[in-house]
Amino acid sequence: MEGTDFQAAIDMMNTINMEVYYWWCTAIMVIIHAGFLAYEMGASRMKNALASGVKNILAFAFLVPTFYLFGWWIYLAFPNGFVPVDAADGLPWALAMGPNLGDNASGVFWAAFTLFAATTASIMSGSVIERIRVSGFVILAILLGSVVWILGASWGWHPEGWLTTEFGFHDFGAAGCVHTVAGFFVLGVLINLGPRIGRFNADGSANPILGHSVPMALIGLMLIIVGFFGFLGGCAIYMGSEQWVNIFGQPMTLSSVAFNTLMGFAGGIIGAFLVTRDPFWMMSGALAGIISAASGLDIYYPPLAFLIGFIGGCIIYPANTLIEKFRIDDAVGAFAVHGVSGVWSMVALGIFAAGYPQANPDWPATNLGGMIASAVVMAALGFIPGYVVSLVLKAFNILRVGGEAEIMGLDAAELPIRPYPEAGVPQAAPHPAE
Amino acid sequence: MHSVPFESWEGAKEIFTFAHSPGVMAICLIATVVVIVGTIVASVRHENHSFAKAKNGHK
Repeated sequence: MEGTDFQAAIDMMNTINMEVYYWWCTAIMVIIHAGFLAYEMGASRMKNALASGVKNILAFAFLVPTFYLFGWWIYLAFPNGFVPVDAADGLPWALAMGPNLGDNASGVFWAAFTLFAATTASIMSGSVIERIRVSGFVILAILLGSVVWILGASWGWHPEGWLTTEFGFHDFGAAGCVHTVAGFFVLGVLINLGPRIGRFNADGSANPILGHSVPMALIGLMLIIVGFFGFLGGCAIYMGSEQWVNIFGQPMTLSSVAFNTLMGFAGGIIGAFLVTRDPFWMMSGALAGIISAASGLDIYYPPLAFLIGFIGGCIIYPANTLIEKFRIDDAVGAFAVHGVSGVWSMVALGIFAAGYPQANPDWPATNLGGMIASAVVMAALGFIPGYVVSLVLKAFNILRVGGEAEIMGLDAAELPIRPYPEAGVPQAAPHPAE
Repeated sequence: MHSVPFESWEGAKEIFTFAHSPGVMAICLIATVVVIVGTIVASVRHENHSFAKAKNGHK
């Protein structure tokens, strides 16, 4: 084989390897949605189990085409802030946005980001169960998954995002644009959505509303953890014959992420176990542990990732209890698990990993002030649209179901089938969906 | 906090935080062990307390 042919063969092999790698990352990320489906249905009372599942399935379905229509373009267009740069390759009529033998990358990168988007929308999904209208939810899911988070990704999870070029932002595992944005978006929505009937007493004290299947919820949470390995694998950039780089262009290894993901995971469970002894919060702690270490999964000393995850696992339950005092009903603790852990992740990186140089030496190195400023940006980017748009939906009466339907149960009120038709559970008579 | 063990990405190998500070690494390791052992000890105490309550017929 001639030298040029040999090089061409190596180049093609690298291209195919890249394509295969992101294909399987995307496939593994679908498991996140299997997890969210089980988690949210299990966390719902039996009378709402399927309605919670329908909502989750629809979030995924609506995210795919909307992310194709404008989500991917937003990511490519806004690394400088609100003024778009040329991003014609991300427009839905671009030649790269369809089967193209000259482009093995666009489809698999779009698919991976679409799954990141659907994950972000699903973070909201669990918090609002048992009282949100499907139509209002779908609008909010599209806003969060195909607009808001991806704008945050363009700012702070992009090779040239302004948070990195101006503040030295570093966030390997998307604690900011995915978890913090989603967590604070949820908080804004929950304020307008209001608590489920019976969640709070007149004196402000909270009543627990238990899901009908905690084991199902726990299995769902573990499936989300499995899917996280696809998610975090998708955060690494395959460089063919060269070392991996993170999304900011800094060299890294998958081994780094393997060490620290597992250490953060374990620390989160142990922290939540110590604080609550509650298996639901322990598995939420597993998520919180990974999210807490997410910003520095590529650079932390593994015992440090364990300790940061441990703190994340310790703080989520008190954080959830704190918002309950304001009569905010977060059915699965998503604000605490994603929003609070996400902020902690970014601040922790500023504390423990300040001074890491950027890929471009002209950009500021990681620093605590820059990480805190970026965390504030991400929190505001999530909260403001979540609050404002849910307020508008509330004004048009498409945010929350009526009281009768909520008391009856959403499955009986709007679905043609029941989750456990032979279980003998009192339910309203089935009727065809209108 | 000086946690970066290299000056430039060029030629860097051990890039993790505090790779150049054995003392800080030791603190992290000891703290990890304390968390593990401490949680097990707390768990034993919690179980003893819970089982004692159960034995006395309390929930």
